[in-house]
Amino acid sequence: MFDISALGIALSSVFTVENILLILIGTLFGILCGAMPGLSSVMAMTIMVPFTFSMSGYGGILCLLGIFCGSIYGGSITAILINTPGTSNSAATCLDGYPLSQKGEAGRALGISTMASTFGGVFSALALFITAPILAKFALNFGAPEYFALAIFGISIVTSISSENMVKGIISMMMGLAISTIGMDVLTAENRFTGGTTYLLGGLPYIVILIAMYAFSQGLINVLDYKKGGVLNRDSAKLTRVIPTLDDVKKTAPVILISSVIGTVIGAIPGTGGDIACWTAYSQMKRLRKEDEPEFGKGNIKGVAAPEAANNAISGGALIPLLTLGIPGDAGSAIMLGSLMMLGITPGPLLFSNETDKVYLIILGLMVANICMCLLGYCGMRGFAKISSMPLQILTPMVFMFCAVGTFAYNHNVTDIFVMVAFGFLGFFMVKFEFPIPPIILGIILGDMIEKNLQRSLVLSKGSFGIFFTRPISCVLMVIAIFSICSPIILAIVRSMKRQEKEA
Amino acid sequence: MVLAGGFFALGVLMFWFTRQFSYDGLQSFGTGFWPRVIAAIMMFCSVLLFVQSMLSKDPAKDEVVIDWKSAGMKRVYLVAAVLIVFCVALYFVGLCPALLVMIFGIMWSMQERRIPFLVITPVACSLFIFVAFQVLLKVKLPAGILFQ
Repeated sequence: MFDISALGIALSSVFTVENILLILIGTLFGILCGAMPGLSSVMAMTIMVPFTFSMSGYGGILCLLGIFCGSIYGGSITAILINTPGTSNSAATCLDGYPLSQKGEAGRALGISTMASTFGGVFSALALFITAPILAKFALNFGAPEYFALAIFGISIVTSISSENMVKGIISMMMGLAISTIGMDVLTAENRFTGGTTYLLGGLPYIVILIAMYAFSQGLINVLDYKKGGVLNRDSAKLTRVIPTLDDVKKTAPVILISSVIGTVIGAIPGTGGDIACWTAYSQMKRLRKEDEPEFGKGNIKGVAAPEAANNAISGGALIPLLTLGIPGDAGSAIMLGSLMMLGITPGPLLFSNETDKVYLIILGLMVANICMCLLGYCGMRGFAKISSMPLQILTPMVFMFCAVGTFAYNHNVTDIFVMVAFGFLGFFMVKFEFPIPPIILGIILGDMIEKNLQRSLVLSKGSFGIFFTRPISCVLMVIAIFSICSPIILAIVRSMKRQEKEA
Repeated sequence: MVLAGGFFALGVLMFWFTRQFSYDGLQSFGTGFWPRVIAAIMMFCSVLLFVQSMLSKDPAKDEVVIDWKSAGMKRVYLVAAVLIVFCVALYFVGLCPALLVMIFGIMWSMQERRIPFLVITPVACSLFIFVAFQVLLKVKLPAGILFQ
């Protein structure tokens, strides 16, 4: 089942001085970004993506994996020290991390958080190693109708989860799909919505839109919410012992293991993410609390271990649908997809049979990134704690600067910067009007796949849409997709009817 | 409601632009079919959004309202102006000088008034980008039409 020679090639590719150094740099950058409230893990990745394209070999992918892991972990530092999660993935960590910090046990909380994050990450990488080939083998039976149904399934799940208002979610999705139609059609060579410009012939580069929608718009939100003298933390808590004691390790080991399983499973479901994983793990552990333990929310060390293991475990989980089916489940894996494709690696079931060494390279890279995160975490914790004292009026212009430079570095085209600024403002207003961003990004990425496979399927069925419901896999996926889109609307109608009955 | 109108107009516009795209039936639907489907769904959803707003029992609570005159939004307008200047400067004088203007402008918009910070930060950042890209990575940064 496992290709030993491919594993050997992957090992020799990952364990070079240059690549280990790149993983370390990526992880360090990720931790720093994660530790700064206002900078998310997706933002850290989007800013760095264009730079990774200039790295030789697979260094760029390994560096991105480092950023991915580091930024999720970095968010816990400010969550514990100043009750401000660096990223949404660490929101649940605040509940018990900050009370521990107030009790003078910040070092203990950070030590357990580092241990739990590392275990969660390594566990999910192992899960990816074991489950992905099985899923990929199954996916080899997929044809055009299955791929169409799969893309619709992925995008509909993301749309239904990412917004409270389903209509707004669908509008976001349609905007993404509309953007994906811009450019020259590959089959007919006919231009669509190019306005006669050569710039749009290849379509709008989605990395540019990703930078605009996530990083640039977040910079504008920082400007909007800024309060004068907005320093994140001037009084970083004094850290005492950061290496966990044997007693703490024994106490938290089962919690970390269960939370890692929860994080991996949730990460593998498209549309979910670290925030859902961390809250689920936290609430499950809260239910399992023994009576003689401190209450959750008042400084229980298990309340730090559970969300941290779960949110880092999504890193491997999210790569399962990406590598096996070519479907990115969230914005972070969408960035990975773009980077992989730029390097000539096309995720999907064939990747496992044709380029097994590259799959192993990614899995090994993820494991090494987690180990680097652990080393950097324990060695540099005191330094990372100080990063949160950076003034926002200096941090924010730097975000804009990296957005501009990163966009230019992607294609070496100045027009991309103008497009990025325009889409950045669009993203800002969409966020303010509560339109979700992930469906736009997935719409842009999956739009082409949906259109091509719809076309192929209709050719196969001589124009009948029944083909999607007569084949078992596509039928199941389509039914789930329709259910995920319709269920919130139906539930809202049922609730409203019940309310009216009560009032009557 | 205004947003719903805007998205409906966008759908109509998209539909209008697709009138010249080819469409030869479902078996070979050319370039016109898919954009028309997207435009139609967008128009339908806009109508739904409009109806949703109309049926809302408490529009003030259910609808998202932005305070366009708040201090935060005024800062955003100022930053928008700075970014427009940045784009113009980028076109004429290139990236590094444009970054100087942008960083200074955004810091000023965010009420930073300490002169050493206002001078050192933009210069240090622009210098960092120049050294990292132009010198170390040998990436040619945009020079602007005046210096080309």
